[in-house]
Amino acid sequence: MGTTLQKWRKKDVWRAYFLVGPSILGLLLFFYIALGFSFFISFTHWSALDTPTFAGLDNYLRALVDPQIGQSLVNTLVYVAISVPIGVTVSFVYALILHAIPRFKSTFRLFFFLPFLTLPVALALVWKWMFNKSFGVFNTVLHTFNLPGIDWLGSRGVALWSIVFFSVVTGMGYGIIIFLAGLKNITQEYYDAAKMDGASGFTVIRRITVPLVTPTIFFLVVTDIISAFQVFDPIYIMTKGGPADSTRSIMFSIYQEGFTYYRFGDASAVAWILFAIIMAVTAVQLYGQKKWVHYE
Amino acid sequence: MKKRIALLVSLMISLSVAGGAFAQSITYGIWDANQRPALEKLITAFQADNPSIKVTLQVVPWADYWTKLTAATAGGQAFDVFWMNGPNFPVYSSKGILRDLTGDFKKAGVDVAMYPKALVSLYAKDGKNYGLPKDFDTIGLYYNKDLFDKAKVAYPNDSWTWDDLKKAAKALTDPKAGVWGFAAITGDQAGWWNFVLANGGQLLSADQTKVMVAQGPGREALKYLYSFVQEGLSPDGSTMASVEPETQLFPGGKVAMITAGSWMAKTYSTAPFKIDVAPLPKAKTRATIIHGVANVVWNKGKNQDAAAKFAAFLSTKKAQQMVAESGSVIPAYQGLATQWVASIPSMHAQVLVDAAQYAVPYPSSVKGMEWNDQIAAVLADIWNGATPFDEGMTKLEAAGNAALKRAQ
Repeated sequence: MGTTLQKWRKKDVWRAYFLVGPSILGLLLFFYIALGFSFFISFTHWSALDTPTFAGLDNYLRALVDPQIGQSLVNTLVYVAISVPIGVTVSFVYALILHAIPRFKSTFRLFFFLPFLTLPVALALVWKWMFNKSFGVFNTVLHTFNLPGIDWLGSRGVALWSIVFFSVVTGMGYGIIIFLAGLKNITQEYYDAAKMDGASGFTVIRRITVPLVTPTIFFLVVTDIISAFQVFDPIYIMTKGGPADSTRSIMFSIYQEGFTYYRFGDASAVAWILFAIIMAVTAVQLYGQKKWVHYE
Repeated sequence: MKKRIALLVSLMISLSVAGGAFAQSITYGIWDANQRPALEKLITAFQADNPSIKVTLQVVPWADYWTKLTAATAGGQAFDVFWMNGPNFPVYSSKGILRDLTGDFKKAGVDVAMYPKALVSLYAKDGKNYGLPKDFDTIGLYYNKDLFDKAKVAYPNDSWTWDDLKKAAKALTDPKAGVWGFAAITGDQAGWWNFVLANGGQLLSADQTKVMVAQGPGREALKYLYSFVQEGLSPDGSTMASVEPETQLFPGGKVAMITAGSWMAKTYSTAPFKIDVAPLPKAKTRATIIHGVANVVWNKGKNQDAAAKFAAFLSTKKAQQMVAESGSVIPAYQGLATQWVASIPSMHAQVLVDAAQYAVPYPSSVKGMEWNDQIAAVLADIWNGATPFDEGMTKLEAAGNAALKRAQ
């Protein structure tokens, strides 16, 4: 048995290399080389139209004192701090409800997952209309109840929340699917035992369901935080960072530095700063998971 | 089997021969889909004379045009021939990636003197022509005649002042019908730049180190424009941010008057309302921004000579004549504007041509346009009420000046 397995391995190892080869090549070309290049560019001044000139740490130092980049960092942190907990909680609650529904489960799953499959830019464009102060559907609804309209994207205190609202609603399908998978993995015996002991529904959720889906929660929180740090599409489409820079995110600043003002060195430096922040936050979470994540 | 291979080989050979008829293939990048039909006619005409060159038209919407062009240039894949505008020319020409077309124009028999000087110099550097304007555009006051008739207001004419505009806007605004009298757009070229200039102000100081619009006549002009929003005579910034005033609100009959470029005339003439155009109203003086898009050639393309030939063709009288007949834009070639006017019989389009007499060139500097982007962002905040006007002026000045300083 052992020898045949070894034989199989030797013969197929090359086949395996052959199969992963193209994707490795693709990743090298479009990801790792680009990554190295952006690191190099971050230490230069480069307009993309000429040859880069060495700039030392200039770009990094400027990024650290630039008020607009500082503002975009604060906004991004606020966005992460609001959108991730709300997003995870909302999708958890929906998943619990869907999990409890005995029939048409897959129909509901599809219903909630479909928006997630839509192009984010297309969604953002439509929502931009829905948010419009004079013609949008949200204010039309408010007006029919004789409520005053809200300037969803045009007022300083509201715009960031509108973006969060958009992200949570259009993104929750993904969280729901992941949570449903997590809920399915919980062995029925735990619930049966709890029932025998006479635990109430809420206690069951608190003492059994939540602890047992902590791996799922952990996974979602980590990945959601990473993607929330990189929020760009809805901001680019809906607010362009306004009003008064109140929705300017780091990614938007990176985009603007590079593609609007032809400062690819500065853009790359900010991108690497963002990378460092995401790395640090993720490392803290990986370390901290011991305290609260229970693997069955 | 052998036969099959032979067949395949011969097929491939014949394919490559057929491809050889289009030995040189070049791309032509533009941003305005409205002009596509007219340009396709030009391409057909060019290819008829030059059967060995194949031109592929690529439309990239304005919002993504410069992003795409920058990325494509950095990646060594820029369009062979592409549209250039005034503010971006200094950036591109200073990086040395545009072909000097002086010789190509001569070869094609293009008389540079037949083009408006202000626009020729926009695309020249050190006495060399890197492009010639394919058209020119000015700004006018478009108005919806149906809404004017309904409100029994006299049409705008060339004697109108800012007070007349305000009075008419008041008379035309009808909140119940969802109609605003005037769209005080935050756009620069078609909007506030013209108002600042008409009020005797200037955008930048002569040495281009300071923005001048937060004080004196510039500030007055902005305040005047903003007053339309404040008094409910114009849609506010938030409304106009997601429903475009130029392409949606005005042609949709929600706004009775708007300032817009001559490039909109043809489109407006097909709107479901009777639309006409008048000169921009006067303040201390009358002013409009004049600009013209040029065709330029990337100097690192594989088929650069073919590209230059095409670009030069686009500036010949024959090509300009075809532009005039299409009515899409005002051809820059002297004397051809009358044909453009004739192609839009439902409007007094002549006022847009005559506007060239009191026109001010589009601001352009090696310092780029970040100062203007910074101003635009603050104006948007004022227009949607996020920032009070006076606070906005202080901010606008600081942000604009900082951008100019940085670009030094």
